[in-house]
Amino acid sequence: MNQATLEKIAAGLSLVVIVAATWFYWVQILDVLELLEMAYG
Amino acid sequence: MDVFAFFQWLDTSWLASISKAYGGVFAVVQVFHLLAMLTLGGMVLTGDLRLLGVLLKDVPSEVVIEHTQKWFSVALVVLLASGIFMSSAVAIKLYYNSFFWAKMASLAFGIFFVYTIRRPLLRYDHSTINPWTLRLVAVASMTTWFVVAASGRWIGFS
Amino acid sequence: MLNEILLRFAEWLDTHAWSTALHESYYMYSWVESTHVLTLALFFGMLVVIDLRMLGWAFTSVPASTISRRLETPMMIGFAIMVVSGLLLVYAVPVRTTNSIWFRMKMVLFVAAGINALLFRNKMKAAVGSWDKDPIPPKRMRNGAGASLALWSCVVASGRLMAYDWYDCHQSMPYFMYWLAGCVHEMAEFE
Repeated sequence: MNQATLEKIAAGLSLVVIVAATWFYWVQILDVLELLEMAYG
Repeated sequence: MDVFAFFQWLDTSWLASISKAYGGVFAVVQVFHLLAMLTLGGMVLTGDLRLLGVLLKDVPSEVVIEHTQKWFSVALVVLLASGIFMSSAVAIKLYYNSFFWAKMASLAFGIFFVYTIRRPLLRYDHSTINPWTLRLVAVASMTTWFVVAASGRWIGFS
Repeated sequence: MLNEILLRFAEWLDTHAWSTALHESYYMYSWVESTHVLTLALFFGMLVVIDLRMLGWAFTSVPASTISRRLETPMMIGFAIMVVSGLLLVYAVPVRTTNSIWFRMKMVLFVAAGINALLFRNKMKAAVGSWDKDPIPPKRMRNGAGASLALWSCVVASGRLMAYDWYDCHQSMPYFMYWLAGCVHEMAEFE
């Protein structure tokens, strides 16, 4: 694989990882915030 | 391939007979698993934060990547070996634990990402690589290993 | 005497509403504990890189002082988060932690590792202009780095072992072990 192709795959895949992980943890963070609100709000 | 059969086999293997019978041995292996995890984390952070231009700016990023990769692989081997041993103690329980599967999936992806994408890419002269690609790869690498470690921690809570 | 004071202090902390709330909050407690463990990758991870350089096992082409000076800030950021989250964890479970042999061992090792780090740091500062660029630092530096790695690893290990209840006060143990763990009530039964 040449450098240009590898770079494109790397950038694309990295973007997918970052979006997926952000979405995954965002759901969890909202969960914790909601619990905090129930407990102390 | 029957995945459950593998967990059943692991559950009754000679590894399991050690890990289940000797709580002390299990705990010591667990400590090594943790120490290797921290070493791996340190190498990932040092390498990726260098790519992001946060750390060690006066050291060429090629040099930082070269050295961190070596110790990354050492830590990974210790992690896998100790991880398989620990799994044998609670194999059946793990099979039904969703965080365990989250961890295995992210781990498999992490290993694939490091050895087929990050490493081959960083073998090129870093100045010829688009800086945004480097940044994306660095953030994705840290994110992946964070997810692996965090889901691992969460296996214990769930 | 010291055991009584420590236990009384822990029992007083235990009466705090916030301590109970943190202990009973499943998500908050788990998040604090995860933060404590994952920040270790920052603190201990940077420490490993510095110590491996001082042992001459990694980054041999980079001056030792560059590694130690550049990585000191992220390491200390990690350290600060560790201390804060660690204090919160003690606050959440004060009595069991105070009576934990592992926690006591961890504190002793922590002090030892701290003293070693201070001595080591001064020697590192003296490196510039002498052995700074040597791939393998002098023997006393390697000893210091080895001690640092070993001591901090033991701190981490004893922290991890706190999760096990092998030597908790409710177990039946010899008097000496109760004394080590500070199980004041159990010791009283011996008299």
